[in-house]
Amino acid sequence: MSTQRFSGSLAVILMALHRSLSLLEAIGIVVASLGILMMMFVTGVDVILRYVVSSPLTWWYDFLMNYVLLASFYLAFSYTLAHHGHLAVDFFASKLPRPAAFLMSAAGFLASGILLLLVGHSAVHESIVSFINDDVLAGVILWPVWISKALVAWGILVLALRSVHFSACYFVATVNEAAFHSIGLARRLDELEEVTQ
Amino acid sequence: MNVLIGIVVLLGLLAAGVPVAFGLLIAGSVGLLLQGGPDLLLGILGTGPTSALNSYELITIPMFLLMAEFMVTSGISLTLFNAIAAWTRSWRGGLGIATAVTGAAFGAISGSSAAAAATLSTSSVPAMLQNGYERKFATGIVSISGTLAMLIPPSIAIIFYGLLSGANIGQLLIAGIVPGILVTLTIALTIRIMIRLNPSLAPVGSKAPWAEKLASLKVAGPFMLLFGLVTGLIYTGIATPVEASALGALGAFLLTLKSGKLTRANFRLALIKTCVTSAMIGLIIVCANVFGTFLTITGATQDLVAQVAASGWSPWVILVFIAVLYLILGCFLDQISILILTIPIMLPLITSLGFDPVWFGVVVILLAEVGIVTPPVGLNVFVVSKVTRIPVEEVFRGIWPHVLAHVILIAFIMAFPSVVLWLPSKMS
Repeated sequence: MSTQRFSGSLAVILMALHRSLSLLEAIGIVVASLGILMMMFVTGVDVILRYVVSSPLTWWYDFLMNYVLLASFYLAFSYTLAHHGHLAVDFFASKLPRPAAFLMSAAGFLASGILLLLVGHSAVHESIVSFINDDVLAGVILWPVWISKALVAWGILVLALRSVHFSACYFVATVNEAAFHSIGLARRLDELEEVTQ
Repeated sequence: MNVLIGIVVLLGLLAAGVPVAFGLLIAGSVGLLLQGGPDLLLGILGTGPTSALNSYELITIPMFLLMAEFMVTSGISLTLFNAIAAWTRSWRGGLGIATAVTGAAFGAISGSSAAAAATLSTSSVPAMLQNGYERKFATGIVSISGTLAMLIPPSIAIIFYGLLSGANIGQLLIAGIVPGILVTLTIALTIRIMIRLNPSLAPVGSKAPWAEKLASLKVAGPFMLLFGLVTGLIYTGIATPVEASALGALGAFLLTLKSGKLTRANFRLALIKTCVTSAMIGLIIVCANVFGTFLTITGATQDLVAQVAASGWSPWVILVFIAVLYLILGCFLDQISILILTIPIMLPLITSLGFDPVWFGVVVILLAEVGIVTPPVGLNVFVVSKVTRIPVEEVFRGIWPHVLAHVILIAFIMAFPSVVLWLPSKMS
C-alpha cells in the first residue's frame, strides 16, 4: 500500500466536501447545544412553576418534543460521526490487514450513506407536504409540523453526505494510506490541509 | 433463513468496525429487502427512522450526561476520594475501600463507568501507590469500582435498557440502588479477604485528624444535594425521571458556577460532549428501529419463545444459559451494543418465562459490568491503564478476584429477585 502524499483533483474535492460538511456540522452542533441548554433551563423552570406555584408552562411539552428534542439529537449526528464519536467495535477490525479494514469500512459507509439518503429524501418530502398543507399540531399553540420534519431531514441528510465522504476517503485509503488522514476528523484538519496543498 | 442472513450481516459489519448504528441500519435493510422486497424497505425507511426519537424519557439521557459533565468540570468529584479516605485510610486496605465508596458516590452523579474509572484513576491510584499498595491490586480496585456508575442512579445504561424494553425507567433507576450498595460492599469485602491472604498488598495507613475529617464533610454536600434532587425526587414520586434529570443538570450547573471553575471553554466542551454522547445513543435507537422492525416482521422472537416453551427446560437453566451468554458477549462488546443486540430478542423470552423485566434489567447491567473489566476489550481496564500509564496486562491481572466476587454476587441476585425489586415496590 502506498503512503505517498495524497494530492490531485480527488483530494481537492474531498477536502472541499469536508469543509462544507464541517460548516453544516458546526451549525448543527451549536443548535443542538442550545437545545440541550433549553431542555435544562426550561424543564427546570417548568418543574418549579408546576410544583411551587401550580402554574406550569403549558406550551413547553409540545415545543420540547417536536422541536428541541429532535434538534438536539438529529443535528448532532453528523458532527459525532466526523469526530468518530459513534460506537464501533474495534477489536476484530484492528486485527485485519489495513487495506482490508479500509475497504470494508468504505463499503459500510457507502451502504449506510445510500440508505440514509433514502431516509432523508422521505423526510424532505414529508416536510414539503406538511408545509404546503399548513399542517399544525393540535394544542395550546398551533406549532407548524413542517419544522420538525425539516430538522430530521437536515440531520439525516448531512449525516448521509458525511457517510459518503467517509466512504470515498476509505476507498482512496485502500491504495494510498496517506489519504487515511483525510477521513474528515476536525482535529486532524491541519494534517488534511497540509496533505491537499 | 432471512433472520439468519440479517444477523450474519450485522455481526460481519460489527466485526469490520462499521459503527454499530450503521450495522443495524444495513443489516435491517438487507433483511427487509429479502423479506418483503424494495417496497417494504422503502416504506420502513420512510417512516421508522424519522419517528424513532419520540420518547419523552429520552430527555433523561442528555440531562444526566450534562449533569455528570458539569460535576467533572467543577472538580468536586476529584476531591471526593480524599474526603472519604480521611475516614477510612487508617484501616488496612482503607484507601481501597475509600475507592469503592468513591465509585459509588461518583455513580450517584454520573452514569458513565468510563468517566468514573478515569476520575478514580486520577485521584485514588496515586494515593494508593504512594501509600505502598501493590500496583495491580490498586488498579484492579479502581477498574471494578468504576463499574458502579452503571448501576447506581442515574445510570445511562439502565435508562437505555428502559427505552429498549419499555420498562418503567423510574423503577429501573431505583432498582439499581440496593445492588449498587451490595456491589460496593462486595468490593470492600474482596479487598479485605485479599489483604488477609496477602498482607503485603496494602499497609496500614495513618489516622486523619478530626479537623480533616470534619472538613471532608463539606464535600458531601453537593453530592447529597444532587442525589436528593435526582434519586430522592424519583423515589418519592414528586418528580418524573425527566423532571428530576433536568433539575439534576440545573443543580450541577449552579454548583459548578459556584465553584468558579466554569469557564467559557469548559462550558462549551461540556455541552459538546453531552451532544456527542447523546447523538451516539440516539443514532443507535434510530437505526435499531429498522433492525427491530425486520425482526418483528419475521416473527423470530415469537418463534424463539415458542421453541423454548416447547423444550421443557427449567426457566432457571435457561436463565443461567443467558447469563453465560452475556458474560461471553461482554468480553467483546460494550454494554450499549450488548443491550441493543440482545434485549429485543431476550426480553420477550424472559417475560414468557415469568421473570420481571425490571429485575432482568439490573441483572443484565451487572453482567455487563463484568464485561467492561474482562479481556480482551475491558473498557475500564484500558481507561485505567491509559490514565495511570500502567500496562494493560498488569491491570487485567489485578481484576480477577473482583470478577469472581462479582459473579458470586450476580448468582445471589439472580436467586433472590426481591433484593432488586423490594425498593421499587416501596416507591410512591
